[in-house]
Amino acid sequence: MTDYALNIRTNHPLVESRTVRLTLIGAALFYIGIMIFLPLVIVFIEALRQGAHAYIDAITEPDALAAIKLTLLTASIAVPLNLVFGLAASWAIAKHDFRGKHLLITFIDLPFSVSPVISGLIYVLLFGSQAALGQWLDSHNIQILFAVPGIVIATIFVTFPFVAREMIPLMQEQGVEEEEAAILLGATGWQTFWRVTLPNVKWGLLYGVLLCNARAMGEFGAVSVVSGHIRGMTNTIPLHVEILYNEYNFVAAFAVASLLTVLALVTLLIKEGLERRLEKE
Amino acid sequence: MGIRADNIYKIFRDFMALDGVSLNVGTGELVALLGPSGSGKTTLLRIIAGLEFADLGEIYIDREEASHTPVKERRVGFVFQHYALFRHMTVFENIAFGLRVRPKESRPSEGEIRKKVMRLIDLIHLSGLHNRYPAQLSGGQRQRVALARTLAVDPKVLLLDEPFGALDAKVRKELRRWLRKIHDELNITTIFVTHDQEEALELADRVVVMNNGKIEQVGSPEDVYHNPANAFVYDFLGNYNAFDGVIEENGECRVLKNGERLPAGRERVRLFARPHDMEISPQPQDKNAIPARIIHINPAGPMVSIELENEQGKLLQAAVTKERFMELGLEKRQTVYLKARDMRLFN
Amino acid sequence: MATFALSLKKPGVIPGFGLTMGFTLLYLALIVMIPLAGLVIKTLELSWQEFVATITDPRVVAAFEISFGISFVAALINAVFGLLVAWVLVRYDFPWRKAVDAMVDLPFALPTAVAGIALTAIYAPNGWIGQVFAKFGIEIAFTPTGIAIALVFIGLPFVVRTVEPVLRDLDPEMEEAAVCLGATRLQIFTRIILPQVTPALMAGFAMAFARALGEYGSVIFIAGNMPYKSEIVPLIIVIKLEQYDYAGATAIALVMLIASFIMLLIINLLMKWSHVRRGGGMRA
Ligand SMILES: Nc1ncnc2c1ncn2[C@@H]1O[C@H](COP(=O)(O)OP(=O)(O)OP(=O)(O)O)[C@@H](O)[C@H]1O
Ligand SMILES: [Mg+2]
Repeated sequence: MTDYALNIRTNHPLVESRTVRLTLIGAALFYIGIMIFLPLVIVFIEALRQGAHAYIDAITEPDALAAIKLTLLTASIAVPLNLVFGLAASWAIAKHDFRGKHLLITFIDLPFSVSPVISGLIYVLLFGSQAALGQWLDSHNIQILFAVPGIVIATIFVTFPFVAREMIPLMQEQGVEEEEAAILLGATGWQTFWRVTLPNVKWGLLYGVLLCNARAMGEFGAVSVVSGHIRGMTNTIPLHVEILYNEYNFVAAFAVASLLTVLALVTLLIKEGLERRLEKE
Repeated sequence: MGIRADNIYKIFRDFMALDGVSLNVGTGELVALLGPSGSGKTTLLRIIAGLEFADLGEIYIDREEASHTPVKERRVGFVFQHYALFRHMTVFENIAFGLRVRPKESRPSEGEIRKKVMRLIDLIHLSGLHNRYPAQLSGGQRQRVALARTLAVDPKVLLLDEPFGALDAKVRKELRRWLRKIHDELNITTIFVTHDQEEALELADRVVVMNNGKIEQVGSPEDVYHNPANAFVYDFLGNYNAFDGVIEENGECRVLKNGERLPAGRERVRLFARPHDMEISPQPQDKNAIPARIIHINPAGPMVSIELENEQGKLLQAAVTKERFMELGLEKRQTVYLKARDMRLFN
Repeated sequence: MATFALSLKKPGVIPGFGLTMGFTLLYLALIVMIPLAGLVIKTLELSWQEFVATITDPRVVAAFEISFGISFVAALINAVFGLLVAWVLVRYDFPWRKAVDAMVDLPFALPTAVAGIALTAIYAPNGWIGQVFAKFGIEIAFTPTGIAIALVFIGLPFVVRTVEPVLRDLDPEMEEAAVCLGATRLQIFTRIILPQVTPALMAGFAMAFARALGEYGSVIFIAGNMPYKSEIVPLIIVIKLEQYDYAGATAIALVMLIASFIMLLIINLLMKWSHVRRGGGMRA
């Protein structure tokens, strides 16, 4: 009942006239086109402005490679940790009944509502040389702030809720009957999780991981505050983009940015695929 | 304010939902549209209301060709199976909606609206509940609000799609009587859809039996019940037993006996008999009596219904009065003889 | 901690609660709660006068005005166009509908820095759209208008994605009932559809607003970052940090944090209202 094709009879009582329909569709397409499609296209146009050669040079230059390496390293630590957390949290929350559940979910969602800059700031306050913990770390020669560990921790913070938030509603929707049946049939908790729960939620889980990963690789504000911007050392891809851009090296900036854009597009594409799959099931 | 449907066809993609339906409903009539699920009742009703368009055929409301009249000008009241009450409006606002959306020139004053709505709320016995939201009402109450909402705009005709479908048996009966009363008072031409034969037979002036997008029979409740036009109508209006039979040379019908060959040159026919037309007796009534074993007795209800199994293991049904049941002293597993008092033959 | 949680737990047969809840709370405490608490403790080091002086500094006040004002405008634009996009996606079929639907999520997936430089390239005086406006003497990038565009971009999916499911679940029979009662299409939209969508629309608005308040990456490229004119609050925090004014940065951050918690609360209430409004769970 909801999908009214363009060529539907105009005098249908529940459909706007053809003119209104076309106007609304046109306006929406214009909006999406100018706000979303155009920025997407411009990244690639600017990146390839001086040809494929300059493009490849920009992304294979040592500092760029270092940034890519650091980004991959960061994501490869942050994503698995948040994945484990997401699974643990959703198991505890969705499959059990306890008081304070809503409060806990709100706390898990907190990092989403905190400005990225503040997400970075809280770790500066914690690990900075002005703080007690920071001084203790300094005296033991452990560098967290303006070094890789700080970047990793800030990334974990900003991507903290992704898997959990995707999994909790999904696992709640599944109910507990299947798990209860499995337990009654003699399965251990681990077996139940692995063989009953996980197969039911695997696509949602994959989606959560993808989003978590996209954000981990693309985070700018929080990482920028804790990184110290040391070229070739503590620069992630987004920070490298910023440096190149501020040096008016636009082609290189967009070339490196195009890597992140491709990542975003791939994430969306897989998401689409997963959603179609879920619809079929 | 009659309704006439003329040779209506409706095709959904490759499915024929209405296959040449013609129907004439007179002014003030209360007509039941009866048929199994998927027979096209809702579709027909929606086409009359103008919510759907026929691929072929015409609808006349009040003798006027209505196919090109927009819904909002047809003055057709439509009550949906699930009521479709406006969830964000109170009972009062729901009922007042049709008055409030009128163009300024014809919109009644706030005072008139209030008066009319309150009168309707009285009519549906919901006084005092006018500030409730639909979610705070019971199913039967929602149903009545839905009806009052349609009545508020003084519709020329009233269309009800399974008005009592979602209610329990007791509330259904109550609302049925109430609807009859309202209809008698207001005398609006009404078509209501149901797949409950009892409801149709009890409530309607005329019954329209539909099947597979076609009208099988139109007639008074008595008529369709006692003179079903075909096997489908007969089947749909009640339980029955079916037998293989044969037409004798003298024109009489007879049930074929167990293992009996069809006499040469005769045609095999299907004979039907209602459970309450089955006579039960411990001894064979005559040479054509059918022996059967009682497998289940259900004494609840006005009649005692008995399930039996004939020699081929086919299930038969019979119903006898309590007195007759006591008289016969029937018991489970007993073998008895059946004979149909009244049988029907359809070609 | 796990035992504490256990005592609150209602009985059930599924195992692993202690372990998973213990880990959840520990991880939550280490990554989120303790660092956030650190921020609050840090502000306590400030005297009330210092705190007030920091946040009433004219440059900071200007930044608050810019951040709140432009975030509000951007969220408003998103509310209008988000409703439009959601409506078109749910109600109409047109070529590339699926692709458009997928594209709506791009601001969620695209790193903000990339969005920032891309939007700047488009709206700079020599950019594709910027040069058109430049002819009329209108500057977009490096002005508050530029900030608004960046904030519209990052907030775009919120309204669409909160309104879409509500529109999709609307009972078509309700609209049919209204049309049978004589309502025009416009009346049906304003009296039947809009009231049911409003709570979700407001929730989407609030989400877009909250997100815009904290946004940093996409804005700093396009904003021009002129004090008193186009400086947003997150940028002020960064500047204070670069000047090692940790106390000042913390004070401003606290105000922002409180603002986002209030927004979070409002969003939660709106989502509940949305549920009730659509007839869910409210029985006498
Ligand atoms: N919009 C539609 N698209 C495709 N097929 C439809 C549509 N509406 C109805 N049909 C089909 O037309 C047939 C008749 O439907 P209709 O709703 O009129 O049946 P009904 O007699 O009201 O049944 P019920 O008693 O179950 O309500 C059904 O087979 C149904 O599947
Ligand atoms: Mg129906």
